[in-house]
Amino acid sequence: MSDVTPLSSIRAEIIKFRSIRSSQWGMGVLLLLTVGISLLIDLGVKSRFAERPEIRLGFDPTANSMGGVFLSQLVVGVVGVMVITNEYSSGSIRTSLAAVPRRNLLVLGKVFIVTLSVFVVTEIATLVSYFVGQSIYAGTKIAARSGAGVLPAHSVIPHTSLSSPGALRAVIFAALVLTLLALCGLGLGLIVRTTAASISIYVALLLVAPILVAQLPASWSDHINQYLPLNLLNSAISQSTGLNSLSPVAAVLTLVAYAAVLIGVGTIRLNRRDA
Amino acid sequence: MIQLEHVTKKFGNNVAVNDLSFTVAPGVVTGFLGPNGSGKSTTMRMILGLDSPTKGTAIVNGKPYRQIQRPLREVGALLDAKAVHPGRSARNHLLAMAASNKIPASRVDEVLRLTGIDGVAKRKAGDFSLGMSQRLGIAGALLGDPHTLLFDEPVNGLDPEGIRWVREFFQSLAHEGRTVLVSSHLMSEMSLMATNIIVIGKGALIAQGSIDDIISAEGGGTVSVRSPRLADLIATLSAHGAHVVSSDADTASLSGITAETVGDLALTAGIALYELATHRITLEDAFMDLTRSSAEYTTSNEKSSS
Repeated sequence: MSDVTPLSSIRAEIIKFRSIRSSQWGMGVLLLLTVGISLLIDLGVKSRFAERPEIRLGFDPTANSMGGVFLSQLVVGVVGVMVITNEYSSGSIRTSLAAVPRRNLLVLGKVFIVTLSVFVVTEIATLVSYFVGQSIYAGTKIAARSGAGVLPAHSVIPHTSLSSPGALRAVIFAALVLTLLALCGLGLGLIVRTTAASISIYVALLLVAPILVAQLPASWSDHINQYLPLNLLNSAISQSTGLNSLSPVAAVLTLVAYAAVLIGVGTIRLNRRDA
Repeated sequence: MIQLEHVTKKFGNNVAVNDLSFTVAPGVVTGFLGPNGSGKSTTMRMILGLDSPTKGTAIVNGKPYRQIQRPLREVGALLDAKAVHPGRSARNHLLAMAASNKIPASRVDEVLRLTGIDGVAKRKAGDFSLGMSQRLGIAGALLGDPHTLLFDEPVNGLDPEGIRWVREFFQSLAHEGRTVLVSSHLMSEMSLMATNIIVIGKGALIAQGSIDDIISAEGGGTVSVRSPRLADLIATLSAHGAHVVSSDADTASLSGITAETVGDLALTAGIALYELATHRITLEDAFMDLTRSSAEYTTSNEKSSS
């Protein structure tokens, strides 16, 4: 019987993840940043909803209450990258591979810990953001102005509950997208191995790719744009699917494919290259 | 049992290990010697499946390391004492290793005590001195109570007491019937610790065997004599195969002859001896002779003299 099983590798990775401060910090920052930025966005909506028609236009209370997740895309990438690159920078990868010689099991353990920790933390963060946001919207009375015409008297900002169509899906998909982005980070880390380079590439794919795609002819860029990582989160949590953007399910599936390819290539490299 | 068969490792055009074959047998400490950059660490990494040989095979207990079912229970290794996440406590480092191989947590506390770092087990590994890190690395190697053990430069950074502990500890592990391979560039330490040695230079095998055999093969040693009739004595001894290594007014150093023969011949010839002594060459001398041509980095002084 083999000592090293999927379960034993997962248990080892759980101990590794919990026992370093950088991952605890990462999780804490992820939670606070998501909730904090969402709250700031909510407060902005609260104070300006009445006088700014552009906010009212197509206002999506569910997605808007979780606005912090857009910045969290950067944090989860760093968390995913560092789960593997800190083993290379410290040299502990050699200890890990001596203990778990079958590379696929090591990757499995890391995929599990990234998925579990990032999903749990971001799900808590999006739920908190969602409920805080909805209660702020529901509690904000908008005085009807003379001549405004659009707003009924004594109304509040539009809000949803989890039982509203698409709301629960959006709250779950927000965490799912962030988890998949963390797995993309893990895959990049497996391929590139150094922290700085992996994070740079992650940020470039997220933020620089849209700028490059914008240089293409419109017929191309409209098509490619919907598959860019930066637009997938928006597609996944929006209540309405816009022109040239993917449906929530298609957006999540696209990210599943990205993560699978990156981790697949990373695993092949881990198997073939010297540690 | 560790077996290397015609192992070659190239990094680009640089040949780190060149057609290296050897067998490390259980029951004794085997020293793995070579100058800096001679390929010792690369060889050990290949034994552990971390680097893949360009050619040849490295086998541990009959299998390539990556196919071993119970890695930590069969093979324990200390490759680099600092290869630990600096922010993780020593105990958590070992707990993660243990969990990956279904080794109970109680064994972690056992090896912490065994290596004398149980008092600092909760401290971050990054705050450890090199000596403490070596002990942590040795603790990791012992986790699965394996039959085969590899240690890369384990005495670096240890204080004299620690070095003595490592020496006696490794010997006791070998006496229990385990295979123990220890790399070092400290000859004096190896001559105390190891029974067999493998010497490599520029990635190729230079010598392997017991330390005694290798020293004998390198000329064994010299005999020094002091006599009032030195010239007569040397003439007699030369007829019996002795070579004069050096001599002055009344003292000579000879090779190719034993002290016993010198004494007997002097008695027969009626020549008085004031002093007669055997000087064994040290492992260090033998090593220097063996590796002189293959040292990666030599000082200009050594280069001009060789």
